[in-house]
Amino acid sequence: MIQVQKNSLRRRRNITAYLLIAPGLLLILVILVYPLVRGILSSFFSSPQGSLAFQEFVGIKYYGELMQDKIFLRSAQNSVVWTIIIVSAQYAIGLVTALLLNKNYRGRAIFRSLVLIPWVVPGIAAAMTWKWMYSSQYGVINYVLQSLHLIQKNIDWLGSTQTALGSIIVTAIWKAIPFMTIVLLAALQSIDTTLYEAARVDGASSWQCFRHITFNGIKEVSLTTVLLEVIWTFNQFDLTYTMTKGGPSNSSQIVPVYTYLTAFNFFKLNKAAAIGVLGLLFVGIFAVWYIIRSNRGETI
Amino acid sequence: MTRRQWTSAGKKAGIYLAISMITFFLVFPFIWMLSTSLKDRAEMFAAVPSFFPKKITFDNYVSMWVDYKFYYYLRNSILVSSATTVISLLFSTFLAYGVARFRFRGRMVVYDLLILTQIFPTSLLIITIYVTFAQIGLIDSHAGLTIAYCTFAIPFATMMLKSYFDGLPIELEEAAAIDGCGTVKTIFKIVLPIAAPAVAAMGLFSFILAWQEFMMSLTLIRSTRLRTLPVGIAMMVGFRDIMWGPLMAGTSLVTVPVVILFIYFQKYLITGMTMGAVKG
Repeated sequence: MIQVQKNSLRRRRNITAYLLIAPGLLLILVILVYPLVRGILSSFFSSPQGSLAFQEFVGIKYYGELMQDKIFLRSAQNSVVWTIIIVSAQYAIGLVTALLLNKNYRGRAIFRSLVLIPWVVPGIAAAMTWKWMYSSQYGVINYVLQSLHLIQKNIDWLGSTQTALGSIIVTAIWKAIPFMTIVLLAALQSIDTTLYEAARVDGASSWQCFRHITFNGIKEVSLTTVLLEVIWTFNQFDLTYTMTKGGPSNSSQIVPVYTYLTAFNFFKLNKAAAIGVLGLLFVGIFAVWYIIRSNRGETI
Repeated sequence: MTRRQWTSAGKKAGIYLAISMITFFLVFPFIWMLSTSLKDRAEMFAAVPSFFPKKITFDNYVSMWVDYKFYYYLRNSILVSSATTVISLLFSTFLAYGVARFRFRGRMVVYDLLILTQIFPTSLLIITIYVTFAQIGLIDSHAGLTIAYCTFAIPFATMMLKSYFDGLPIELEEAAAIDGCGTVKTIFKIVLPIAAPAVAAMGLFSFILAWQEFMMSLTLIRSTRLRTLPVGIAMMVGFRDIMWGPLMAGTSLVTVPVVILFIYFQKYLITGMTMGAVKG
């Protein structure tokens, strides 16, 4: 009798739980999971114009086409360069900034607030402001570099195939530094300071202190954040789309922007899905790694 | 001063110099944007640019507001962002409470799914979302855009709220249950008031997510009158001559509220937004 009551109580609690999670979960399934699955499947089918209906199974036809597509190959190469440079620079500068903010001096709180600004500035605002700064005629960057005699004449930073990608990368690094800084700063502040005193007593050098105490203390956080940033950076769309649309002549083309343009400017939805899937495969390696790590830390 | 004090002073100067240089690099574009938006045409295109405007003018703001119809964009952005905040908070609170307090079958799957969605590439999702929304008539509607934004805000907000709920004592809720309080009533009367800081942080996160989002808005909204601020700004470029003054005014309009909100709620937001990564 008691067992039966207990069971029915548990069932009622289960029903309550399912009712609570239903609305949120439903949205996630319909708007995040379904589009992902449907997108992957569509890359193996042909569809009538403007739809994703499965017309005919074409296997890896689109993938084969992409291997011949110079623009795609260019964008894949750019995306790898883009991700590696941005994440490394972001980590290096973010770490230096975090170390500087972890010291004790007057005005530290103000610096800490100011440093966060690029993170809060909306992507579109960052893109437009830097576009203005990069402007070939009136841009402040050309003015400063000319005043310092670093360049002879104005450069069309975003309009030249030589400099477009690099210029957007600088903007992306600028935007990405603050997040790394605060995450690393939080990790630095959780390091037990008595460790340093003990190490000093034992005659450890500054470099040994940094390597064995500081870096050891932020190692785990660093790896997780870098993984996450690799995924986010690879998928970054706003800056490139609004600054150059991948131009001039696709010199700054990256995978997410090319996916979007193929779908919504060239109206090749299935081919676009195939590009997206290839991007997902690249990110997937890091994603799986990240998920394994976050599950390990989670005591659910 | 002794030699030791000298090196210590030198070290301090070095730190100040280094942090000042980094801060300048990070803050300059923001100042340049505001400064440009307040300059008149002559000063904006002067051969020797001035750091701060010599004469402050609001012409660019007037032009942005009147000529470029930013009152539509601002209204739309406020509408969509507010709706996103309320709805996503409601859904993620329920979801987080369900995962935190109930031991149901499939709980781990739900949690893994939340983490997994954080890495889905939007540029792939948008293809199917666009086609599906077109089929069910959600294109060019604020409702459609809000639904999409809510879905993007829910996973992160849920994870953060769940870890907050995990840290709350369960006794109060048990007492409420004994007094005959239903689950939904318990959430509203007991849990939400205690979790107010976390809820506020996640509300702000959802608001900012919707406020600055670009790709969805660009794709799902077709008519000019329904556009949100980021797309409105992007549409000012693409003509042959870019009107930098009004453009920087519009850019300031989308940026300044977020910066103010952020500085005001800094403490909550930073803990909330970095927790996930640091915990890993």
